[in-house]
Amino acid sequence: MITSTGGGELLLEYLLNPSVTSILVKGLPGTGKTTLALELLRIHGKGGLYVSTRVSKEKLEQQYPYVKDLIEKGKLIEIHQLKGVEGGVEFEDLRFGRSVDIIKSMLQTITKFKESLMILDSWDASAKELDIKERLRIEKSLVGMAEANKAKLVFVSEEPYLTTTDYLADAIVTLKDEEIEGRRMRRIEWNKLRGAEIPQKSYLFTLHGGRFRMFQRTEAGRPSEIEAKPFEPMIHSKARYSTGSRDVDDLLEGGLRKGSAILLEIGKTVSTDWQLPLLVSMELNFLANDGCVVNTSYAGLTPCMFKDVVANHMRKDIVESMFRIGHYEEFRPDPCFFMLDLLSMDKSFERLWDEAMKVRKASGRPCFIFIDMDTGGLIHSEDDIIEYSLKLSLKVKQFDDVLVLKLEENNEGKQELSTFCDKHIKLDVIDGTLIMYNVRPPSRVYVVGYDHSRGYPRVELTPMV
Amino acid sequence: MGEFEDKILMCIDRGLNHLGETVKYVIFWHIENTFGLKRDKIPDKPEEFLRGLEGMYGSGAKIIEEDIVREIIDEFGIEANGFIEAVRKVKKATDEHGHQRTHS
Repeated sequence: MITSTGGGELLLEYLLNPSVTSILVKGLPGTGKTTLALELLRIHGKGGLYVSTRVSKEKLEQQYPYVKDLIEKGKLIEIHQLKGVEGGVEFEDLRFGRSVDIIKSMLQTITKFKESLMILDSWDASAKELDIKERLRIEKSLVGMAEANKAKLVFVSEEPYLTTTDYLADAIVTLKDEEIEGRRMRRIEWNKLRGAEIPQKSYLFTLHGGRFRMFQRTEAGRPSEIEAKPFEPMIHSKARYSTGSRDVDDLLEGGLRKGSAILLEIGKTVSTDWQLPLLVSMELNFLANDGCVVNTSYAGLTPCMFKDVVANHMRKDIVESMFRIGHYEEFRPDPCFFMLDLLSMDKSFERLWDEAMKVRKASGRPCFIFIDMDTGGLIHSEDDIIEYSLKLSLKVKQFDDVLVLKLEENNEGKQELSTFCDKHIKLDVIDGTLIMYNVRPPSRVYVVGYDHSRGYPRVELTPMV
Repeated sequence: MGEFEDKILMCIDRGLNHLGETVKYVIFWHIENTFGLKRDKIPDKPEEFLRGLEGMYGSGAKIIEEDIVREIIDEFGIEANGFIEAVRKVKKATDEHGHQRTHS
């Protein structure tokens, strides 16, 4: 007997709303159906039954270590203390059983635990042995029994086509294991839901750590109730500069290598709000480690707005002495701003490098240089800006600086830039969720989260597993 | 088991057939398992049979009960409001019929 644990994600709780008695979880083998069903059990938190027709109890415990934990703890009162859960979960091994045994097991659970949740994994293994009329009768009966006892029923199925269960179930989700640019992408598709409105058709999810975690729409901005606070630096290593995020450092194999150039590719639907915290986190960490930062203007932001984002989390004297933004239009006088030349790429490049040398002199430390290739390409020619970026990348190597080149995915210079940059990373949005991965060298996909709880943006990455 | 019990059980079977063979089997199993009431003793304790159904289906049990009562009414040609009344009326009629046969 196990006791399920509470907590979980808001979106999954939709599946457990009072209007839903029966849930159908569909998907091909390996898509995460069992993990989702077990997660529902945990969120439901009122005990239940896991009926396995495919996997032995031992194998399940092996694959999901927390199941064993739940089984053991369910027999003890401390489960109630630990998780605030009543009841327990029973495990029934019905690999060789029949539909009769499934109903029997369910009945016994219903009478033992009120409002329990029962998982039939997988239902189709038993149901396909029945003729269609008998199958429908049994399903109706199971749902009727569940309704009468305020229980919930999870049918797990590998049948890709429409079946009687599809018509009967109050909620249907389909799990998909897809591939995008050679990388795994897991999606949950909401096909039917009684009693609640789901804002979008599909969401990304991961099975990282053997748990089912679904991702909501990425929130990039700092919540209004959280006050802006000074950035707490992460220390650089001997060979690499920290990005201010342990996760991003890991993605970059320890951080930004000294003297390296990074190409940051931005997907078409990634708004500035979603890009900015990643860059700002890197720049803040540079400043907080006595480094200096020189930028060209950022598409979609005025220099004032760009500066404010950084200044919210950094001492004024540091910003004024170590942080620079080059721009093409006249703005109010500000020690952080310098003019680039609209007509000459040569002059713009010279001014940018001069500014880097000036601030470097003040700090005596290396510089983080950021160039928005799309803005530069609009003002000068794309060929010019690529040529100067290449020159800049050589200077950066010489001074142990870091160069970050940002461009949109449809920028024609992408291939060329990708070959001379040390790393090529991409930010994109899928199903409203911000993702990030290394294009070169290739990596798996990570879901990007911005944690503002400390009063400044901290980038967190969750692997898509 | 007498003729009365046999016929009542046939009506119950027919009424439960709407749920399918598997579910019918589980209902009898549940009632025996929960109340210790074997299938052939249901005509003697119709209240417990109904309690078992209600335990499984809640208010949905009423529909199953109606199906069974309809079978009893068709079989015995009686008027009855609910399973318990139907079983009692059939039992009484069967007893009286048996009593008359004995005395004649």
